[in-house]
Amino acid sequence: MNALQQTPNDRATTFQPVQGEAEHYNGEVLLVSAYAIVWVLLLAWVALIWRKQSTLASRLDDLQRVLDKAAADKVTK
Amino acid sequence: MVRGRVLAVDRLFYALVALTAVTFAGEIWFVFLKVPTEARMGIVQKIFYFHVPIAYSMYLGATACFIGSIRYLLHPSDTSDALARAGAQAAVAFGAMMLTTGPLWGAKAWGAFWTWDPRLTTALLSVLIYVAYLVLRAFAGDGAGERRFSAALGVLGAANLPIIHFSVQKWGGQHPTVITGSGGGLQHPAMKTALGVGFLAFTLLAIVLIWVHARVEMARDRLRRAEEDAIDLGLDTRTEE
Repeated sequence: MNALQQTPNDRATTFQPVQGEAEHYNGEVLLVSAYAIVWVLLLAWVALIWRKQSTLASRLDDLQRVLDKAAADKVTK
Repeated sequence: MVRGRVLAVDRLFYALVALTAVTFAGEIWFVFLKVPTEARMGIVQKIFYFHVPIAYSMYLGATACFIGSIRYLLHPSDTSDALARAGAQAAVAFGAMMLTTGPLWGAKAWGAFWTWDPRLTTALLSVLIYVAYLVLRAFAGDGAGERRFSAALGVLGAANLPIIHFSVQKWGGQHPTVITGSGGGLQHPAMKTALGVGFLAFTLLAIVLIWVHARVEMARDRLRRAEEDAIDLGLDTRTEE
């Protein structure tokens, strides 16, 4: 049965803990992959913010240099 | 007085970061060491304890974008625009996490990474709307007109959020509905605790990252205005070495 043939009543509505059985670890690669992807994406986002902040710092330096030069020119005049 | 307020805000921010870190450490410890494995799916079900809070965090980002956009349309300001932009960035980042962790769970539970289930499809559509928002902001310039157009897109993007939420109740599909208004289908107290702490951890993380991003965007706007003032005074900041 494909997704569109199912009705809302066909869904899983409960998650139940395992009872008296050994734990299944078949999905551990998927689980670790999911966690790894979350952290990689989070770090990528932090790196993006860092890069934006670095760009701002660079532009601020340029502005400061121009203002210092203008002030120096004013003094020499 | 202003300096004191800045220090108080900084202290609040650092406290929030510390609380986020502690909550995340507690969540990871609890999910892996205390929560029982699910009977049918096995250990892969533990993706659920951060997949759902991540999806909720995407909603938070989208809501921040919506609030910033509405505020910008009513009273244009750099603060509102920065909030909208940071919210859209959060919606895309958390949306990307949601769209990768969900299929990894689906590979085990459904035997397929992706199906065109109504919730999956509407969630993908929503993320693409916020990607479009960011692309627009990156390439269309930063004038008042572009900002207004982006704000309109930010408002329209939020219209899809209720559709994602109610899609599992109104249309067919495979996406589970374990969290319900009548208490939910988590059959062990530790499962409920893990989900609750997960919500708290990702809510704090979303607030921290949206806050940081919005501050960077506001600083960028202030710098742009300072550069424009410098140019008006005959100082060309682009060519000076």
